[in-house]
Amino acid sequence: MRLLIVEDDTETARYLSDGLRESGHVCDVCHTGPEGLAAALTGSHDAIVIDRMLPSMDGLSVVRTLRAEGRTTPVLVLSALAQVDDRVQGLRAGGDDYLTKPFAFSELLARLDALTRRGSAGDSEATALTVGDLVLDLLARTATRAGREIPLLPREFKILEYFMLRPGRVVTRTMLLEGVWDYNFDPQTNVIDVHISRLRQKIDKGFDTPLLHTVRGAGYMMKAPAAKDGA
Amino acid sequence: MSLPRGLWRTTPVRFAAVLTALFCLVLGGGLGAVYLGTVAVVDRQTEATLDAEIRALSERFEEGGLRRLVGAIEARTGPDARGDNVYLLVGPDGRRRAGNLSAWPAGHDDGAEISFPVTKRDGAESTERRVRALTFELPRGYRLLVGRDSEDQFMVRQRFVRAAVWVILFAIAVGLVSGVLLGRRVLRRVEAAAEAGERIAAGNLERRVPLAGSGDEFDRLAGSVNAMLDRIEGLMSGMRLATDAISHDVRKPLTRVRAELELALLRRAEGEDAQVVMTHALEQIDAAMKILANLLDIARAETRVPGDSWKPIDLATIAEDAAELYHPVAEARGIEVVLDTGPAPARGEPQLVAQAVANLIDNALKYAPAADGRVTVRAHPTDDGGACVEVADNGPGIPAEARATVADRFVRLDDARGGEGSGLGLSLVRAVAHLHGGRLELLDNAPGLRARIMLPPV
Ligand SMILES: Nc1ncnc2c1ncn2[C@@H]1O[C@H](COP(=O)(O)OP(=O)(O)OP(=O)(O)O)[C@@H](O)[C@H]1O
Ligand SMILES: [Mg+2]
Repeated sequence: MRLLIVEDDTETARYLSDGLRESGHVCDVCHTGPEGLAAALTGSHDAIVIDRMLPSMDGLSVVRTLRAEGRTTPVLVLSALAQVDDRVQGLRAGGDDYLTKPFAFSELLARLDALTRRGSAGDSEATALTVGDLVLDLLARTATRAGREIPLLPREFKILEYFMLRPGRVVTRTMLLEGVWDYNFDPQTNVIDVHISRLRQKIDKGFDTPLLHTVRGAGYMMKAPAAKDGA
Repeated sequence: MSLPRGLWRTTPVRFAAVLTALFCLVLGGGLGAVYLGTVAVVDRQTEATLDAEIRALSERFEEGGLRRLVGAIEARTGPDARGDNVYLLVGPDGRRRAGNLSAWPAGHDDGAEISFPVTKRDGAESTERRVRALTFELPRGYRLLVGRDSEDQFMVRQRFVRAAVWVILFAIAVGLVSGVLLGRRVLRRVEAAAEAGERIAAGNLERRVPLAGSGDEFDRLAGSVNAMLDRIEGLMSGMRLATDAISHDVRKPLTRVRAELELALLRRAEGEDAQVVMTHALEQIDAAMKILANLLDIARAETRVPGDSWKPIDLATIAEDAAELYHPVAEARGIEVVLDTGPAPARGEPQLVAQAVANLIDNALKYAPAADGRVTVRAHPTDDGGACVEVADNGPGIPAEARATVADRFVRLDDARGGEGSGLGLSLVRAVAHLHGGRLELLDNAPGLRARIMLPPV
């Protein structure tokens, strides 16, 4: 992917671009708002990572201008402020996602991945989602694996749906909290892991190949066994 | 003590000056009115009388010529004439033709209205008296003067002016003295407060502004300043505690990370070995960052003002959702969670309130006994029209004497109780309750804790 990073702190900018390049992306880096805006308007990026506080033109104004110019490039806003109002402001200005510093790099990667593939992620008309031999019927709200029906609680269904809409991609705990529960805080205890292990009990236990994987230091991923796809 | 300009800047002096100016204004107005009503009236009457007299005499002149006029004057100045008017008729040559004045007063050759002294003989005594007179030009160069002894009026006026000056001087003195005294009293109390403020600014936070006990505005001011100081002192000591705890709680994981990384370097850790070290280091750093994030959340909830992200919320839904989030945790620990909720509308920041409720449930599940554990989550409207959400457990509870401080940052009752945690959960709950104008109540569930967030009416 070709990414644009707009970040005034050179240290952070370097850490971001090094990490993203390491992960196989191409990065352009700008340090001020106007520069970033110019780069965003002329270049063709798959996504933009922009710091909220920038000298001479703040990040949100850049996003607003970009949107006013009709650009739909996905934007992830970085911020040192975690206030809920700020988050709302950031999203209202046209940002697609909001991440508070300090953040884990894996979190940024997962979210960028989610942003850039959002357009192509499953088609919204679909009435069923399939990963390997697991099928989620969105109308009947049932899950079957290898023809066997799996009883799910409503919340478990939502978690599974969230994963199955993003097959093969890392889903972080925070993304689950936001996407499934609509919470943008981290509970004191790591409740997400408990939810996942219960879900795993239901969909993976008793089957040869696990579908729900743990990605160390990042989160989870739902993936069909590679052999079956013949990849 | 200080320069005149500096003196002017002190409140008592300014107060006195204003007071004095006001005094003088009122007295000056009063005296002026008295003057106009008395002395000035008499003056005007005298003038009118003289005017009438001169007109009468000039009429005589017109009717019967000089002779008639002289006759009239002589009749008025004769030995048996009444009154002490002064008359004088002079010819064009300036010589006296009639009247009781020996010569035209020197230096008053012109002017219709004049005033001059006359020496009066009364036997052996002679007194000098002031005369006010009107003059009139008759045809053929004759001039007529009619005057009246105005010595008494003059004296009255002089006395009046002198008295007025004294009164004003007295008023100035009284104004200045009483102003300075009154102002000094006021200033002394302000100075006491200012002095306390200086001491406090210098770091002596225990100092308080003295109260006079009179319950006046100054006492109220001092009272509110003292209340503010109580709060500042509370915040300061809280901050000091928190700083100590932060350096302890954050340093612990960081020190460990540092040691592990250093060791790994020394060992030249590679491959799997290095991966383990780094993963562990990341976990420790995440733990430290989590503490910092919690602290930030609390600080923000404490310093925030109701924002535009506030909306109508239902504590019942929030409580149910939070309980549902923790459901698998409860199940894993074998604790039964009972929901007892009814619509409990309130207004607030949904995320913060949810986080607070989640913290209460987190605690209840953490401290309730694994065997026979039971947690009840309630939400309902309160009698005063507000709403309340309550989480009760049957664990060890919090002893009454610890309830006041347990919600302070980093307070954990006994670390021996084990379990993870940094003692920040209840701090956030309390900060969120306060932010919403409500409060956190910790009650005895006999056994266990009943923690409750009370929110005010919408
Ligand atoms: N339900 C409860 N029963 C018994 N003790 C409790 C309960 N809730 C809190 N406490 C006591 O109050 C202390 C402070 O609670 P708080 O939630 O602030 O911190 P914590 O739970 O220890 O850590 P954290 O919430 O930050 O993970 C706890 O350490 C515990 O001793
Ligand atoms: Mg807690």
